[in-house]
Amino acid sequence: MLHHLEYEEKDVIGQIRFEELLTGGSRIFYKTHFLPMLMMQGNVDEMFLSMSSKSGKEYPVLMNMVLTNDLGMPIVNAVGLHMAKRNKYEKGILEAKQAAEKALKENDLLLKMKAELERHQKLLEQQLRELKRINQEHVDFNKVLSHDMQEPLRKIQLFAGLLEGKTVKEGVGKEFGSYLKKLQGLSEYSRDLLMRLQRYHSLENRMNEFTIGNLEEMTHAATSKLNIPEIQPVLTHLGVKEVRGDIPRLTWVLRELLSNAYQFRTEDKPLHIEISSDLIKDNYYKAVQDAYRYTDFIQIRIKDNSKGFPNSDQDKIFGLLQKFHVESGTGLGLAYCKKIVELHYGHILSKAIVGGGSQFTILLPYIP
Amino acid sequence: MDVLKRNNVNVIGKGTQVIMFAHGFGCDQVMWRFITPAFEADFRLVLFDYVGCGNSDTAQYNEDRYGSLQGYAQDVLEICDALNLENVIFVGHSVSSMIGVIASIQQPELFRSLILVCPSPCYINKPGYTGGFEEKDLKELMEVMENNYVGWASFLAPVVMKNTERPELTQELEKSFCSMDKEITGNFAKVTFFSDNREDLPKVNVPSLILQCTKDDIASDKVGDFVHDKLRKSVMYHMKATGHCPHMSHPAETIKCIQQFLQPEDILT
Repeated sequence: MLHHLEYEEKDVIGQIRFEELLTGGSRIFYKTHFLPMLMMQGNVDEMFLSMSSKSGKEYPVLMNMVLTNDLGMPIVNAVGLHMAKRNKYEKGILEAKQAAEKALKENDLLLKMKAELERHQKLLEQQLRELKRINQEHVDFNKVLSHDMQEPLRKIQLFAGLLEGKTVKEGVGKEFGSYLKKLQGLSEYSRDLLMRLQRYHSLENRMNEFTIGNLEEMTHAATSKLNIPEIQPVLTHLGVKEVRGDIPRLTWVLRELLSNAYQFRTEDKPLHIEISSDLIKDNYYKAVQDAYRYTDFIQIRIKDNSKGFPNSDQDKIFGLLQKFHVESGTGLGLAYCKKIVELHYGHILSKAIVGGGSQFTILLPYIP
Repeated sequence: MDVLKRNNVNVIGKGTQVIMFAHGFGCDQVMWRFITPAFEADFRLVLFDYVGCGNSDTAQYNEDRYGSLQGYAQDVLEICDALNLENVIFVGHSVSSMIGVIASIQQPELFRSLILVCPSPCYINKPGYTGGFEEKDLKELMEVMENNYVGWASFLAPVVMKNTERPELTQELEKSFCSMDKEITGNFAKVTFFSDNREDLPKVNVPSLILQCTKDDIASDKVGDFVHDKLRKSVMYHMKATGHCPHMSHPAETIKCIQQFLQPEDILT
């Protein structure tokens, strides 16, 4: 064998390890597959390996190996058989088999794709119809929110105001006055809520043209808009510096998350917020099942040491009118954030941090 | 879909702190057999097979998903999710080092630390980087694998084990150890050896340990140094162990290295 490999005995024994005599490909498979097998089960039979001669000629062998421990140290006993002719023959069979397999696979794939295409077309038709229906509903609902419901509330407020004027002038019982105040307050709250709901609902029609925004500047803008000295987010690490999207709205998301952290800050610790960004890969398909394409996403993390939310409620916090703490506002902020991010075909997640605090993760598809 | 069944997940050990063991290309979870006994008393150990390896559910294989290491990282994250794991110490061999790296970038809060056994972010030589292999070597690897599948049926058939030193390793191993689906293994080899994750290393924010073997033909010293240089919070131990599988060839030293790395963290308290 040494002769075929063009080595002298003295060049090999004690000088070259077995794996160094293998071709690169054989070496990988030997070290990652056969050697572990040998170590775990003590023997490997009929492994095909390609050795490489000094001048780089291939020398195919079929080998059996047994691991023994006879002399108090592990020893590998190996027997090999040169199989150039047989290998040629096997290669021929393999090539024919591969060609047949390839043809079969392609044919299979074609048939499968055709069926899939038809299925998708049907699905698309259904979804387009559904979308049309939802769109119409959307328009109707928007009208109800923006006008039909606003109007009676406005009138209630008006009449309550008139009544109040009368009670003051004519000195009717004091309690009437306070009831009327409550009525006015409630209808004002309802109007405000309605207005926000309508704004939330019609958001897709009011998105700005996508532009490029600088994360650092956006954070700065969000912070200075809030103008609360305790809110001083630290930009720990910006793997990505710029994002593309509706920048004013994305800035609003940052602002909302910052103010959220402030609102739920703990009394005993000064508020600490960290923002970082990275380019990661994630599956582009979130709605289509069993489809995978890993594409670039910008991951923005906002980490704080606030009271946070219980981990079991993480999905709920983005819900419409969901309030988790009594001191919450209208319960629209996070739902609004979620919608803005989703209109960018991204997603937003939150997680409670072990030991206190919460972390929001925004993933936006990376548009170069 | 049952993630635990898909990845043949096994949970052992009496502790609470989780160590997750991820096998490399060409093998399955059985490769950790000599390591796990040392940690069973004090830790909760999570073992699994990637889809297409060992006793995983091969029917769940999806070419698009597992066409990149991201898909494999998603397996890791889904297992963590299914078992509700937190604060995981992830031990990954060979290609699993990079799978762990990717998973930790995606969800750093899940991981306490990464232990990378013989890692390589890129096996192919690139300008200014020595991965150790040329494209031609990987073409050869595919050929060698094809050739070895000629006798695949006999390969999987039960063999009489003449293993006097380790009689505990009997029957079950014959059928399962390192058994692989041909199609899937071919794809896994491509994904493993053609991936280039060099750009991902600086994104890791989790403390890590690199176990670098002596004379590792698959992941050389140079490659180990590169990983150590790019991973921000990394420690590197140069092992006396030679080869690419110290957890099998030199289990005692490997256990010592892992224990030494975990010790200062006072994980058990």
